Amino acid sequence: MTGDYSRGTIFVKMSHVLDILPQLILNGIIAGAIYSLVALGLSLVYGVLKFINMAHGEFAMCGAYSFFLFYVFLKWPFFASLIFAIILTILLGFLIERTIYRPILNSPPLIPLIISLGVSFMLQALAIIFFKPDVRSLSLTGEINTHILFNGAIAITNAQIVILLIVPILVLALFLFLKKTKIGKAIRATADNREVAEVIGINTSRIISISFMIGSILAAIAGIAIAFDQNLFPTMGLRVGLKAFAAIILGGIGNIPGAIVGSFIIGLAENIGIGIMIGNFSMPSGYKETFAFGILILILLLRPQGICRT
Amino acid sequence: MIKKLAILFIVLISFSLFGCIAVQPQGEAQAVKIGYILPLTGDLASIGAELNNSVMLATTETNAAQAKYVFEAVIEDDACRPENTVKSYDKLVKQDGIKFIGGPACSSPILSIAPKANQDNVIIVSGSATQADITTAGDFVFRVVPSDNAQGAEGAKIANEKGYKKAAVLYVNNDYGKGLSEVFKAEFEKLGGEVLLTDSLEQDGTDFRTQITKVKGVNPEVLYMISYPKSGGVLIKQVRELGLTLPLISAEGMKDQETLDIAGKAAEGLIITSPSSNKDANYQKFAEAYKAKYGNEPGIYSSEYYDLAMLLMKSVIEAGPDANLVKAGLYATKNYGGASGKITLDENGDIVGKGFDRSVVKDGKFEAL
Repeated sequence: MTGDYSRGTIFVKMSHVLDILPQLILNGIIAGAIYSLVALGLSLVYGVLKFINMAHGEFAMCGAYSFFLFYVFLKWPFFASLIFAIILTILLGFLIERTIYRPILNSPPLIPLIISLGVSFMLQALAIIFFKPDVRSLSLTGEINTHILFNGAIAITNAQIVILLIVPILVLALFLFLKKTKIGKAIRATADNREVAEVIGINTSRIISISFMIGSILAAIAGIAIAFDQNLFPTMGLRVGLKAFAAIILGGIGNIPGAIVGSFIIGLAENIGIGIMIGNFSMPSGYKETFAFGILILILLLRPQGICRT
Repeated sequence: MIKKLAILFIVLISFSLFGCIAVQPQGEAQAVKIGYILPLTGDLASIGAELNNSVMLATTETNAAQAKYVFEAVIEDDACRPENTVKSYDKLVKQDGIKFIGGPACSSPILSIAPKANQDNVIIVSGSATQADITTAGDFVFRVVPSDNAQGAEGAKIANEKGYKKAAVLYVNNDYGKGLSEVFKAEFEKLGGEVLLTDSLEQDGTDFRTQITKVKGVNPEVLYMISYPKSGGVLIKQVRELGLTLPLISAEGMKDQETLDIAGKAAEGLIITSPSSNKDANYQKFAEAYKAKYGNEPGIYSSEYYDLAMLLMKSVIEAGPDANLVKAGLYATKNYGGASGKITLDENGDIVGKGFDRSVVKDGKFEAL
């Protein structure tokens, strides 16, 4: 590449970074918010059932497709579609939990993990069969609805604003639910020690089902929010599910705040890592995941139990 | 007595039936399988479905038009990913004993199985793999679509004609994207322009905001994008969502209604290059038959795949189902009047005399420019 690299030129070119840094950070926050929406439900389910539901991303996908069915296909109004999409996902979650996960709950942890992997493939295949592998859009008009702020420094769409608002609302709602309500306390007790909870009279079987249903609700909301931002396709659960899984490990397994922290770290690392530009040089975007998972490995090497204490 | 009559009756009937079969002219039709590796799922699924239709149409027509051979199309899905293409190839060649393969649609896939095909004496004819290196991919590799050397040059010419001197390039991270971006850069710089930034996009990806932010940072006058319908549509939408209003030029990989469906109004004004289309009587005949059978107009590459299927079957009919004889027949193809235009293949198996057209997106539809 031609061009002189005298000090002056480098300083001028550094300003590229400052120009785009706000947008990069926003991109990272949005990505982190998306991962945390998925990680929230995944972490809750892990806490109670003590295994990682690898199909959680696919539950989000099912929530999104259910919403698509009601909102775009049947043309129902927005809130009706939302409620029914969540109900459909709850039913699906209930069915899978009772018939597939429940019988193997007390097996060595590897078995439910592998089986949930199988469930994830099965759900993807079903989505392809029913909805074809094409990408679907939730937008009914094809309009671009973006907002340019701060003199062009950052741009954000309606869907992204909603995502950023939903995360704190859901986290707060879940927190209050677990801390203040009787069922919430029962869930925490079951998560803490299932045998003792059983002994003191908690119907752990019912609690497990309820936890899974809450997980399904969270997954459905996550899937619908993501679909508004990034469109629907049968394998949309895969990448997000994997990153959410990594976020949970990073944040400390079984730790809900940790899952959120982990999600944002991954989201920010991905976007800022490949976004930083010196002059016209930057890390090629193909290394996005390399960067994020590299940081993950580094942190785990230094602190294997994850960032937050369980 | 009745019993004896009954037995006699049954025997007579059996003889006459046997006689019918014996008297019927024994069908000389030889069954020949032709394999097709198409992207039925993944980023190009919408295009793959139409290619599937085209080859099936060709097969049905050819079987109806002659009685010497009965052709069977065996379709495999590779989702435009080389690791799947290799598996599809193995299944077609080793399991089904197939010697003639139409497709694969994408460049990285065809480059990955070319060495095997040359070794196994299996003919591969693609109707859409445009990367420049395919020209020298071997004796058994053919294509009825021009090379990206011409397409990248056309893209650079468009940018130059409109007076742009600074460009950024985003390309899908495979042989096709990388190859085309390099051709564009070389040609654009030859015309006096400067490519400020090149960056990659994941195939089947959904979030390109950071790549787009980097493009924003270098402030180019035009953006050259190379991708496929699914991820390309999302890319265009996100470019506009991030507040970039600059003109967009793209390549044939994105020329599909799905791109426009996903991008919505963001795609207005997008300029796209694609192999020069044919509108003569041969195309009209194909398009009418396609529409009658499938209900919609054929899409990009449909006519090319129809042609390559017809060419393969025609060569088998003329030379017999021997790979080396069919190979010679294909190399001898001169001025074949196909639905995609006149097809003449050169000594490398490339099509001769075909260039790239320009289209622009207006009111949600592709229009010739």
